[in-house]
Amino acid sequence: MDATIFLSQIFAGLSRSMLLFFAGSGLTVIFGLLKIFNFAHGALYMLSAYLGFTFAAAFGSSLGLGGAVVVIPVGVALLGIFLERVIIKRIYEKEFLLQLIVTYALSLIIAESVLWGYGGNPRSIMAPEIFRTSFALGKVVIPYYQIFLIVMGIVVAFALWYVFQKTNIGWTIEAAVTDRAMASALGIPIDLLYALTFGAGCWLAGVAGVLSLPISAAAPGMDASMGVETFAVVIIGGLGNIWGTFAAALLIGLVESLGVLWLPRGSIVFVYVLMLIVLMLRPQGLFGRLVRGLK
Amino acid sequence: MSRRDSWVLVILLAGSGLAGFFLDTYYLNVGTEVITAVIFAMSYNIALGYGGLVSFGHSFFYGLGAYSVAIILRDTSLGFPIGMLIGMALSAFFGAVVAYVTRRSREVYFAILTLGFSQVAFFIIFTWYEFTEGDNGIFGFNVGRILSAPRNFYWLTVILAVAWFWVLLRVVHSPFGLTLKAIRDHEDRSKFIGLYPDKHKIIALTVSAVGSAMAGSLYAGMSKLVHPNLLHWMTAAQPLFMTLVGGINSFWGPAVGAVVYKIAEVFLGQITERWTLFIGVVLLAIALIAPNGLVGLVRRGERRTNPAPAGTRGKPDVTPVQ
Repeated sequence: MDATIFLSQIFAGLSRSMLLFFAGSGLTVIFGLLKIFNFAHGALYMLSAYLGFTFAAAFGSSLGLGGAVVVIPVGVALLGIFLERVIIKRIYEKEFLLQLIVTYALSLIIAESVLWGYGGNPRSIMAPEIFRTSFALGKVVIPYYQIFLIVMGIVVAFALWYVFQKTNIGWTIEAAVTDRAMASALGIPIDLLYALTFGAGCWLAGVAGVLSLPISAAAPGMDASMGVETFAVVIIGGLGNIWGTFAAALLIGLVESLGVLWLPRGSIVFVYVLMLIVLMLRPQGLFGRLVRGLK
Repeated sequence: MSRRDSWVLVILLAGSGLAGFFLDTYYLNVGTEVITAVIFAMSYNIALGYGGLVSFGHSFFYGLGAYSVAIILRDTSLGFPIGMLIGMALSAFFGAVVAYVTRRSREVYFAILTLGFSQVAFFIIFTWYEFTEGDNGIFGFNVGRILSAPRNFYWLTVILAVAWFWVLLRVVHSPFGLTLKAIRDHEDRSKFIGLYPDKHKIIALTVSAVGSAMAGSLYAGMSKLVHPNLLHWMTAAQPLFMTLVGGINSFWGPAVGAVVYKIAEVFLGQITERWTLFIGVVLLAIALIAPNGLVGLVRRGERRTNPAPAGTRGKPDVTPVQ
């Protein structure tokens, strides 16, 4: 196999891993604290991609993408907080089927509304000026944007780790996860915490959506395809575990991009097979705990 | 089985059968399609409503039934009934396999695993184009002289549907069915009293797989076109919608839901391509507008897996299922 193709696929896969990580970390954070598997996550990703497109297209791609990645995820987070207060809070501690119905219905509403507004044609933008070039690693050509994504992914992973392990708010969240009643009795504003956490999860999905634009177009069906891959990522990594999500995202991104070399049209199937194998051998995911928590 | 259910069966049989005399070709095909959707949803509910198994994998069985018919009719002279039976047998086998592999997976893991299965099946059908013609689908096959007439095929569908509903009614009201409901309501407790949940869940999923395959076969026979999309997990989401809209709590709920869904698909679909948005709104409304955990839609109010807070035992919100 040609080494240059192999290497370029690795970088492509890693940058895709980072997108999967952004989306997956949001999902796993939401699940870790709120115990809700947010089936609407893919739709939020899609929403932010389309909105990011509009924003970036309006301001030109250099300023536009940067501005979009700052503004749009915040907007999506606010939407998330709104949804949490109005809808999501009603399904805490309820059975899984109900949570599935509600979040799946939300995903339908969001995704179809987006398509209603934008129509069925894919939209994409180019990477900002600085990133539009590539550099050469020997004979391999690697777009700077991929490097940017990889760096951002690592930065965000560390930032999340730091927040959860080393800061007050992280410990507060951990306390609320471990014993909600006690944390509330100690004066921790649980409702606010839940709302902010859901918002943070949506924010991460928003970042993923906006950053995906230079790589892949915003198109119908992206909520389902990215959604399912994100589910696979958090499940393989272990629900509630951020490093698990990171590892699983790396694994899945690489499996897909290298799988393309072997099976061009169906590399996604490797992901499903991987998921089946992992879950059969280790039902809680690679790094998950059997008792739900956030780590 | 209650007398009322028996009457429903009789009325369905008579009503649909008689309607067959008066409908023209277009509506006969629509009717057939609706009935296959009803079969699909009713079978699916054996797993969802009675077994408590939230599956995104039933498109695998549905598509298997459809493709069995298509391939048998394309390559052999065995005829439609054999094709359908082969599809049902294969689905029984794979249904048991899937159920066995996922027997210990709960809730979201189970759902995503079944999604994975249907996607792998989708992929196999999609890429094995020497056999399945992949993305092109198989079309134009001949269901045989008698069945090619829409009216005859419609009546076949009606008869098979009513027969299958009778089977499902017997299953649901049998000791097996009652045990299944006990397991669904509280799996741990059922183990405490000596039941073996795995066995029941596997059988429930297998039965629902067989029914799904039959629905798929009948659909293929009517539309004379099969496509890999039939196995995609989004096809599996359809009976989920239908059942949820109609009510998972009752035996006939999924039938109602299937009809409503199909009507929405046909009529709303003519207005806008985004008609599933309304399905989402309806689902959300149904899910939220009900006191204390959705009497009639979702049976159980409180989650079983978390230990109940001190002093409150989560009471099962048991609504009698007929």
